[in-house]
Amino acid sequence: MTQALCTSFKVEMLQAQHNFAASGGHTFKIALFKAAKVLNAGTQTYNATDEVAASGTYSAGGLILTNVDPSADGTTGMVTFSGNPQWTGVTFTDCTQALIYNHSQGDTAVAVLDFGGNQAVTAGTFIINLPSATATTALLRFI
Amino acid sequence: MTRTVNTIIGEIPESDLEFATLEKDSGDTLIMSREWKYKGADPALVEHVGQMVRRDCWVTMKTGISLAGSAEL
Repeated sequence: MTQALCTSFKVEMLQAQHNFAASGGHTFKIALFKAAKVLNAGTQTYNATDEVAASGTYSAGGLILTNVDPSADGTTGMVTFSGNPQWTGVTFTDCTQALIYNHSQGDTAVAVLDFGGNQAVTAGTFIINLPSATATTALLRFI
Repeated sequence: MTRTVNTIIGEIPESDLEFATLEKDSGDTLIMSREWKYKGADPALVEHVGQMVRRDCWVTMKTGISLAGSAEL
């Protein structure tokens, strides 16, 4: 699969349809999906098909991310959400990818994350450690 | 006070469990997992001795995604 910023998101950014501000910004969410889900740059919106089943603290739609004001590092504009998404008491037998989407704007897709293979969890904790907010590592970077 | 751990066979004293931590580098991600096995002596749980009763997973995204391009994994 392909880890990517969604093409529709790029267009929508130019139309000022996404606001990542910590105060007054949109609500962004992250949802987990099975390998059967086709997620790539062409993904336009979130839908629950092939999402991992509700389990423990995971429920359909995933969880809300905590916005951080976008910032600059050199000539790169960037944003990484605060905290690391995590779910406890969950059981997933098939979890390979995630979709970040804008819940405030009709669940429009932002980015696809690839976990590099199936990550099974049994009655345990699943954590996604987001990258540091630097010009070379931030979650979303405009170079 | 004995710390307990939530597993598929219930809340088990941590002393009745053993775990192994595994690490896998998948390029853009680093995967850490912890597999817990039951090693206790509770007669009611004897059938689970040696069985994996819990698995945790941490996915570390080394880098995010840039508008300049996308990475084929």
